[in-house]
Amino acid sequence: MSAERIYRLLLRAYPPDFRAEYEREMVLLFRDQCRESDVRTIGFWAAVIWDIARSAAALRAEATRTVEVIMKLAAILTVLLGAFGILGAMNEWGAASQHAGTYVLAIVLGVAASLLLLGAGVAILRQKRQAARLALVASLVCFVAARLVFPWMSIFLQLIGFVLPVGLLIVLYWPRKSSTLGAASIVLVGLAVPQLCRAQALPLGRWTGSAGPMDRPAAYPFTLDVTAVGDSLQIMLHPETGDDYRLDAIRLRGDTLGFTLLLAHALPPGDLPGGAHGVRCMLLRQGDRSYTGTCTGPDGMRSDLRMVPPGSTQAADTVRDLPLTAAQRQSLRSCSTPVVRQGSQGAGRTES
Amino acid sequence: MVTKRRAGRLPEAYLPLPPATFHILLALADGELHGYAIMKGVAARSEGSVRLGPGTLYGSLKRLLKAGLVEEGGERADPERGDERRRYYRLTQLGLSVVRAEARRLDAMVRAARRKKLIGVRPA
Repeated sequence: MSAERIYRLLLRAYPPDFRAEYEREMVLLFRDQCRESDVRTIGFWAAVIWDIARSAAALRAEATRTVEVIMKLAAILTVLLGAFGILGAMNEWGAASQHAGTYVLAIVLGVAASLLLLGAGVAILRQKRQAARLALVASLVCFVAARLVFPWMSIFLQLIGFVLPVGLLIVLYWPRKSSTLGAASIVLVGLAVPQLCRAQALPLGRWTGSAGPMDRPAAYPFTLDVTAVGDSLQIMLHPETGDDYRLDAIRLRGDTLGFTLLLAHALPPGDLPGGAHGVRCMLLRQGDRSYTGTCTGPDGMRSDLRMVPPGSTQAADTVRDLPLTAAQRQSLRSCSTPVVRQGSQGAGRTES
Repeated sequence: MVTKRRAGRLPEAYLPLPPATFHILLALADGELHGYAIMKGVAARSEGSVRLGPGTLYGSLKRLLKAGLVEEGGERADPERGDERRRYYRLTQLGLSVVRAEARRLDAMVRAARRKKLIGVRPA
């Protein structure tokens, strides 16, 4: 193999764009060197290899500086998303019709997380890496806390709150050195990701509930099967007597759940739907995780409705309140309590 | 081409220059040269103490081109060597200012060393 061929092989150590620009010139120069030196000596090749090792490493390091440009773009994005997070929290506040203690705390934490995210973006732009790291970790902590006290955030807000800070932390720490803080943030996101899957979710399984005329104690008991179909939520309402209904146009926003009841089965041609078909319900999330509100029929008739999630003590109480036989009661308990456990069960998402 | 931003930057902002860069700029102060001529010029001027390999030379030239201190002067065959066409490089006005500034900086340092009698007194 000729010296020039070996040299061409060694030139592969350089970044491709540099090689494309200067390979021909470098080979010409190498030829000149070969004419004036003895290429069979170790000294000659040691000098060649030293030159390549030193300069190729430097040029490759320069090529990786494009990462810094990407970081600047990411920082700008962080600032924008931080601002978006603040707006999102304000929107959430406006959407809620009740401002319970935990809800207020969640909003405050969400705003704090967004402000810290915004600050982290500014710190990255100003190349204050340590400040950026601290702001990102603090933002992550605030967001996790907000998510824990208020699990009804939109999936997009959660992606901003969890994935963005962790991604930036990894980039800010890598590849300089590993650190406890960086590792801790990665562990944190590992713990948070399963929570993300429960975004905008209603606990899956068999819910219990009752409906009745406004302000009247008489109630019609029913059960609801909440299932996830792909990325959507399917809810079927089974009254104790009569036709089944499916919940349509489900909207879960803030602490408000809205839906329309539609008959689950198709009617024979010519038949007009009756019963609760077309009734629009608007329920509020209560402190015990149940939903209570009113339904309005197409004719303007209004009634109360209550939904109790599976796994809660309230569910058992509701079942106890219902006019069921001991066997039916046991059947409802067995299918709700063990199957659906808060935090361990998958959940479907609704449109927001 | 020297961009507006580069043009607005003071020559002192580029200092201190890495030794290889200073030698390359010094070689180009004589006029347009191709890579091999720069390499030979640097080796001769430094009495063999600085030897630029092709990687170091073209790596430095790439940076100097990017910084606007050097520009390409076209491709042509070296009349002395009469072989393939080679790319020539020359100093820009900014490059000339920078190499002058670096020379002044080094000169000041050498004078300071002389005052402290760390090196020999300049011959009269």
